[in-house]
Amino acid sequence: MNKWAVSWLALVASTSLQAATNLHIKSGETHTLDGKQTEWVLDELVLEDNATLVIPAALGQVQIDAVRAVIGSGARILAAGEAGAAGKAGATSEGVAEKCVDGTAGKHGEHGAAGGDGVAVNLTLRIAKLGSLQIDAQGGVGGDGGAGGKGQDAGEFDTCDAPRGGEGGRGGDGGDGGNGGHVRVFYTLLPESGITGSLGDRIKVDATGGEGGNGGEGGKGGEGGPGKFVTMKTLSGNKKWVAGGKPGANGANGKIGRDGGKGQVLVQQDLRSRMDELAQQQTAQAQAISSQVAAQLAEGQAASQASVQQSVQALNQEVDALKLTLAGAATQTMVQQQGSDLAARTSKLEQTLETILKRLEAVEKQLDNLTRKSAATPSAPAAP
Amino acid sequence: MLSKKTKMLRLSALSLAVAGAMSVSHTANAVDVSASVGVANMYLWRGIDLGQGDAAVSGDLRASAGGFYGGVWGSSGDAGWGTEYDLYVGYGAEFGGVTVDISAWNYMYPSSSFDADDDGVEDPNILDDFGGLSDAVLSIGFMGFTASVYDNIAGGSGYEYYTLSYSYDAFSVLVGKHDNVTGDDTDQMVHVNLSYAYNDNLSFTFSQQVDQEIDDDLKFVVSYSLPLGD
Repeated sequence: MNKWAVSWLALVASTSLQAATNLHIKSGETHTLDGKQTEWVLDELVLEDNATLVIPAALGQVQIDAVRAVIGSGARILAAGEAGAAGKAGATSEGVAEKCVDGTAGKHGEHGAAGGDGVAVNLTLRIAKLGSLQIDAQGGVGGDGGAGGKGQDAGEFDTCDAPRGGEGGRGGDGGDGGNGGHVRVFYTLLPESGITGSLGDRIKVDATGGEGGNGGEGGKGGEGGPGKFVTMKTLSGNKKWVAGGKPGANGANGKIGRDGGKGQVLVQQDLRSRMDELAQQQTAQAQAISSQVAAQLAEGQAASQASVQQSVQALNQEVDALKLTLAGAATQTMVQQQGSDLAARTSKLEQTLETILKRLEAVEKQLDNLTRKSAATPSAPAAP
Repeated sequence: MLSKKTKMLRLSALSLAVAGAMSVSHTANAVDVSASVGVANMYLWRGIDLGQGDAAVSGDLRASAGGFYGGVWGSSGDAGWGTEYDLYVGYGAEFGGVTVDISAWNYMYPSSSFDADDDGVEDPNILDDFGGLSDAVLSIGFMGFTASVYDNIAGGSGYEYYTLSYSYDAFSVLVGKHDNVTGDDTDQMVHVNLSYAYNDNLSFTFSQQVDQEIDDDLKFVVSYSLPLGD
């Protein structure tokens, strides 16, 4: 990797959490993440065309949050598990055994090591641009089993039974494949991205498990001793062919390792950001409604006060007029008549007052309703 | 019927149809039991066709342990004395690359009649008595060469049979000489056998008498041997 091709800004690291920084990998270049940090919070993540970000398998899991992500075409994130090491071959029992001695068995091959699991990758991206991104979180393939060693050739024979060749060593079992890493991509499409709909065609994730390693081949059995003529009575004279020792059995082949399980893959919009936006919209709507209600209340209150003042003023005028009438009346009839008129006017005045009071009560109820309505309007959730 | 010379050879040799017993099979601390069965187009005995052209079947059962061995070998096909079975014991060992083997064989012909002097009068039958016809056999081998001496120890007059053989890979050549104490030239027959093992079971042998011949026929033996229980 050309480290100069990678631009790092504000490289301030803290234990396992990377402080705000930018990661910019230029076109066609490759960069490997620090193998000790599992959480990265980036102001900006830029993967130019055909850029590759390698996540060391030793991390096990990694969280990358980018406030703004700019991803070109053919970008890749490699987070596959490491392949298991192949088992060593079993030692061969060399040469030929001593006379009348069976050959020594070959050594067994070692088992292949299991493949490593793919890295669990969690990405939270606010995408400003996205060409295509391929994430490889496959499990590592299991290591092949080592071959069994060859058995030693049998020794010669004379007065003994023909010895056998040594058995071949067993082949080592193949290592199990690693499990695919779990990959979760939460994204928010920024308006400038111009992308709508699903990102299934743009983000490809391979989280298949690694294949199990092949079993090692069993070692070949050692050769048996050669046959020969011995002096022995037969139907064809005094020489009989005696078969040599049998060859040693070939070692059993190692078993194939199990394939790793597939990792879970989740690519979806970041619902937390969406919730934030909805909350902000609701807050604005509630504030508008509240202002409108307050204006209506103020308007109603002013109108009611003006009406009451007019009624009180008219009543006072009528009372004053009545006092003047009473003081200036000369006759009882007139007094009575005027008294009768006064009673009628008083009754009318009382009706007017009742009307005014009812109107005031109605205004108060309207105010109460408006107040409750305002209180019932949902408030905006607190921003995280 | 066998010729008189052949009969005399067999009698004087006390049926020295001896296995050299160089194939002693033994393991150090366990008794090993082995068996085999064989069939051949003739019963070739020291350069002589005992079956007069008839095929023969043989079987062998032996036990061995620590260099010692013993067993029974039986065969059909002897036109003169009928069915045969041999009891044998022996011991084989190796000393610095030299193999030494010594054994004793007792030959039994239960269905035979015995006319030692061929005068038409049956003699006391030693062929179906235990120990009646017996050989002692000594073989010494080194680097593929094997020399063997067969001497009767019971049942007849002294008679030796000598062989010198050499084996290489699947081939073997053997020279055998009859040595009859009577001094009769015909009892000094010499023959040569050339054998080839096609595989572990099938073998071919050419046999030709080359001196003091009883007959001058080239004999061709096809034999098939099958180990059992292994």
